[in-house]
Amino acid sequence: MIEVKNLRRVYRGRRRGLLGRRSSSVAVDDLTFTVAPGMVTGFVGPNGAGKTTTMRMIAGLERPTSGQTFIDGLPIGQHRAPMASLGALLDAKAVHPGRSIRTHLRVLAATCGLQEATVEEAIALVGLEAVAGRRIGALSLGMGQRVGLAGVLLGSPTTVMLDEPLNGLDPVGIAWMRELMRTLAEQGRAVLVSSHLMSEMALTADHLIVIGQGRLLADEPLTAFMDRAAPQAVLVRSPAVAQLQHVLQVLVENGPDAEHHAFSASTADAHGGSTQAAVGHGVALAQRRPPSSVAGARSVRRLGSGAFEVLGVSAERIGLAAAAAGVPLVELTSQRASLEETVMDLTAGATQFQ
Amino acid sequence: MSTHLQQTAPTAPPVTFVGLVRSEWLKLLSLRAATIPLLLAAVVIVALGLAVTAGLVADREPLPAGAPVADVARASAAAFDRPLAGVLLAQLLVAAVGASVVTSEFATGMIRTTVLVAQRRGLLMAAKALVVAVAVTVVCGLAVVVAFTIGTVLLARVGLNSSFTDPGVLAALTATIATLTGTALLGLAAGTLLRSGAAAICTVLGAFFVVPLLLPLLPTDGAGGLVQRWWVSQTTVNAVDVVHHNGALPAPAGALAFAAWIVLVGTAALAAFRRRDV
Repeated sequence: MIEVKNLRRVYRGRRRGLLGRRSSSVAVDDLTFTVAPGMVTGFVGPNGAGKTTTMRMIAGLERPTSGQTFIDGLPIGQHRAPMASLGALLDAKAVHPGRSIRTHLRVLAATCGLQEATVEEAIALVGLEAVAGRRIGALSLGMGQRVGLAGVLLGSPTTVMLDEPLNGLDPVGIAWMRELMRTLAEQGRAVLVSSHLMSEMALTADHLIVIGQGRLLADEPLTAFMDRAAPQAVLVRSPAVAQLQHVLQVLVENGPDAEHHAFSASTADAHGGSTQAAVGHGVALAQRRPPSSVAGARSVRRLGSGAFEVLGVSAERIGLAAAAAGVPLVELTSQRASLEETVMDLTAGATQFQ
Repeated sequence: MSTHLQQTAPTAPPVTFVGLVRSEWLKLLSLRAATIPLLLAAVVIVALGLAVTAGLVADREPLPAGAPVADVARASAAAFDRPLAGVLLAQLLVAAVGASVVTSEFATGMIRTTVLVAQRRGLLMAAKALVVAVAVTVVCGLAVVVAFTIGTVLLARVGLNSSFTDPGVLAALTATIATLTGTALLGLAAGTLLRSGAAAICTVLGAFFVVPLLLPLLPTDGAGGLVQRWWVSQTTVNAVDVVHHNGALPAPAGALAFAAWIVLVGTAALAAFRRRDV
């Protein structure tokens, strides 16, 4: 488990002239969050948002300006066996290239008296048995990442922290890493992963922490984040266009109360005509949702070929309402914003290095 | 590749000083930037000592067989430092050994992995210092003994008879080896402070080779005299020789002064290392 409390990191720049003031930049600004065990937590944000700086402070490589970080209740510097508490891969290149993989891992293992068997296990785990005697400097980027990972797993840590672990991995490697992270989480470890690959995050992460310009923007389960930040768009189509239109109109106008509205075939016929004008006749092309959509806003847009795009109402409710009104549906699709779009929307105002 | 992992195992054993020393030892043995200068230092001590002593022997008139014992003793003492002529250059090399143990980590970024795994920076530095000290003492100690032994054999050819049992010889040899170890530790400290191998070696070069050239320019009394006696490279002048050098600190005081220099620079290096981001 990782706990970060009011973490702050300010870099003081050079003095301008002899008596000038130092400019300072805030890399991490009052960050507070917890990374719980048993799940994969994605740590996302634009470049320069402060992800790596935060991770370095958690790992004890950098001293915060103020605030504290804890691994399982203690600052990392107070852990008697750091390798068993925190396994961090922040930079796969932070190794001596002249050493062999085996020697490098033995060097790490020696600090806390781990046996050679443990080293061999770690090498086998990452699939580098064949090249264990080779110089690290002679390896490819992907293999270098795996060496770093072997070092992380050596102590079988209760918390795992990975900074951009998918760099340089081929699709097979990415899938393997995804599986590994899930396995680690299932074993009850806390896993914090920072990545720019949102598609991967969507597949791997259970929980999301989003930061921008050093500030916390979101800290919630992945599904909640997706629901909250972007309204669900539902594509719905029926041969009974007018009846469907009525059902949708009621849902949109009445919102949560629509569930209490009695849907019946007769109601639909009676009101079908008058509500027609109220439905927006959008251009009959499904358009990309504008980034400034407000969460919770409900609307219906008519697309071509009898399809409607509904915002702010779940597919479940539409389906149930249509069934209650006897409207047959031939298409009912939930279109979620991708995680990438959602995060980009959220961090749009907070991108430092574009 | 497999994803078969043990369940969260019982806590791994804690990091201990012994563990850190073992780790640093493994690192030293696999670091060419350290092993090569160390071996070179040993070679220089023996080879240069041999060359200089051979030169003396070639140029010098052998003492007559019946010469007074006092004269022989005096001449032998005066020639004591010849077999050790390689030590000064070796000091520079062992400083490089000490520096590389830490600067190679800064240069490659390995220091981040090391600090992550060890966390206790003071203990880490102590382990590095111990490993450097042992390696230099053993290797250079052997070289000094070999150089001196060959020297005694050569000097015997011109009637000079220095041996391990002569007064002050053991102490001087020990001090010589200690000076080499101390210089290596100074190299380690300089490397930690400056975070650059080249900068550390240049600093030691300046302190041990350049400054001593400039010191005679200073007046011998007052502040100038103080510097001449207490400058790091000058402190051990009497300790490493069997003859007395005027104007230099007496051997015991000099040894302590040298140790104080190491403690001073070492403390500054440790403080900087603990404080800085890595």
